[in-house]
Amino acid sequence: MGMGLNLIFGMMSIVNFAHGELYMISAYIFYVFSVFMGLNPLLAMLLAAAVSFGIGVMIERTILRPIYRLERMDAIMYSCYVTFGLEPFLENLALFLFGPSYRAPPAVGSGSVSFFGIEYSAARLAASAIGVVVILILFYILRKSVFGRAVRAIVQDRDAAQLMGINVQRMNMIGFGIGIVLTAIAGMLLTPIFMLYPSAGRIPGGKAFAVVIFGGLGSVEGAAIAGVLLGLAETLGAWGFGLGLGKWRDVFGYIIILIVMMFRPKGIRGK
Amino acid sequence: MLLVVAGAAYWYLMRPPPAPVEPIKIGFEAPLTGPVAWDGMYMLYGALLAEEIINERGGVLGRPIKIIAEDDESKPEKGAAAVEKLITKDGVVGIVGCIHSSVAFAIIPIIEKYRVPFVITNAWRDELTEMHNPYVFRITSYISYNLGLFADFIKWTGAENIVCYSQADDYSISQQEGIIKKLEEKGIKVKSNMYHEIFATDFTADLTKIKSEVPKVDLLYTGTIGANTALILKQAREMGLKFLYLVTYTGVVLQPDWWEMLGDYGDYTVVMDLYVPGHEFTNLGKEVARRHRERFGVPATASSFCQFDGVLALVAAIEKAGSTKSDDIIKAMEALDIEGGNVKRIKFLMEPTGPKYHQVVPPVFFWQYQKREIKIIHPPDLAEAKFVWPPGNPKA
Repeated sequence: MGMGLNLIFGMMSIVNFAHGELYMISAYIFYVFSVFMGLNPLLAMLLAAAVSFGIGVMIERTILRPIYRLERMDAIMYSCYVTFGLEPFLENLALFLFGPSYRAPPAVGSGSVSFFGIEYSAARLAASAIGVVVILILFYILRKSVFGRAVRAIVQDRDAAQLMGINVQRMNMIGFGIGIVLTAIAGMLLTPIFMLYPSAGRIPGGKAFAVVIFGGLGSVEGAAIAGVLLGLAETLGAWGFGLGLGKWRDVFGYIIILIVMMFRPKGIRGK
Repeated sequence: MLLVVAGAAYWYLMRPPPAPVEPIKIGFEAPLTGPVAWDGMYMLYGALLAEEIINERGGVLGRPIKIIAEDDESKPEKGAAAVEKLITKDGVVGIVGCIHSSVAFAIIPIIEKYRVPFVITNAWRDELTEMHNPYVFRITSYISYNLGLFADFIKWTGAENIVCYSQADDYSISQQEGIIKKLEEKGIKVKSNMYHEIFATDFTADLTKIKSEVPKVDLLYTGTIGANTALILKQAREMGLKFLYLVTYTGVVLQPDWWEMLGDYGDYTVVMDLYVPGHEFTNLGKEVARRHRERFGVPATASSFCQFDGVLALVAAIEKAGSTKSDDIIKAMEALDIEGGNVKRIKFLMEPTGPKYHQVVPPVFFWQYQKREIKIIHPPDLAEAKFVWPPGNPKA
């Protein structure tokens, strides 16, 4: 999710406050395909990812288009206002369509897996593995492909990229769609573990922002590193060497962020 | 003559329709979003069913009633704002509802300010009635009443390695601390006393600690309500924990969603409940149970019934008082003695000290899912089946 948010900010200077809600909406789309329509979960995931891409493109082409006429700071402020409004709209849309009940979309992997006498949730292991694969694929695309070069050029200097012949508006549209697909993948992997409900996107959305700031605004690699570090900090802190400090979980993550920010205010890979 | 008749007929046909009768508005507030939204929705169902049944029977004082619902999102400040809006903008004559005791405490100054009766139907802190506020009534259980029942039940099971793990809010902390104390009085020491943040969704860190306990935990009591009740169990079972799961009543346990979320992990859960489907004590209760399923497509829960009885009591008091004035309603509530939907008799206790003031207590059961069927296991005189330890439990 953090990578998607940073991709969007890096390319378009858009702060997407509705990122968490798009995580939730994508998960509901997955739920509709897999449970209501009874499709195979992997097929449902692919279809939901495709629909999420389409939703991202539609949002970019309609609500966010005006930013191209604005100066950078005005564009950022505009995106804040608009996505801030999109947030409650999407949450209430989900509430209206699906009600407040918690849903359990199908997980990739069920039950538990035993390694050396320790049991792990199969769904979590699968989500972690798929997450790593997605991160590696994204890194490869950004580093090695023509599209990735164009993305990096736009992140570096949008005007220069345009002068070099890159269709910035079309790239932004695709980039926004990909950012939403990344958050959709997170939604489809995590909501089977943590449940799906209309306000399910709030906590992950907040964490995505923490990852973005921690990793450095506009840095996709930074977001990946920050996500791992934040997760480790929270989990180890909550475990507390056997003390069971679960209710202080979020505190540990933010302590680590504060410490890093004191020494690197622009984040791990921020410029 | 003909002209007179024609004129009279014309006047009769063309006269303006009678002004619609203004309904008597009753405020409802509960979490309709968030982790406890299930229980909130069931309370709303109970309120809407009460509105329907009461209006079918002619309403009250010749007027229909209308339920106006607001969502408190499980937050005290939202509950207070919701009730202020219900009273000042919607003109409700009473408030019925509330799940969280913390929200109830925030609401009480508001209802006191506007002198409006407040019937609590799902918040359990003793202090809510112990403070003897003249405007506050309660038709549901309360913590000190539950403590003895829980401790007796846990001792009855023979569990020896017990962990208590609940959400960190007013009610859960009070109840959990109270149960631990009662168990100690009975010579049973609890291994761990833990809490989680109310909006948490990942419990693995705490469950890892529970898993590390030696000897293995055979019973986990939770005061957590709402969807997290299922999440804790799901994450625990995925980690290989096989404790008996003892839950305080919460609507989620009775939903088909329980099985969608948990599969077979949900089996053998034991619930302390105020209502069990199929065990209605009054004809009105049977009607409510039937109509709840017909209208909403799901069985009624204790939340539905407590809310139903709350609205019923308030409306009966208005009828008895012959007035919608607050002081008249309160006097009538204190003198009320009617048949309830879940409670056989709605008659408010008026003890001069303690929480049994403006208080009605529904019946209490312990039931267990056995092969996905509900079986009452306690008290013994109502038991339908023997209590069973979950497979793999240290006591099984």
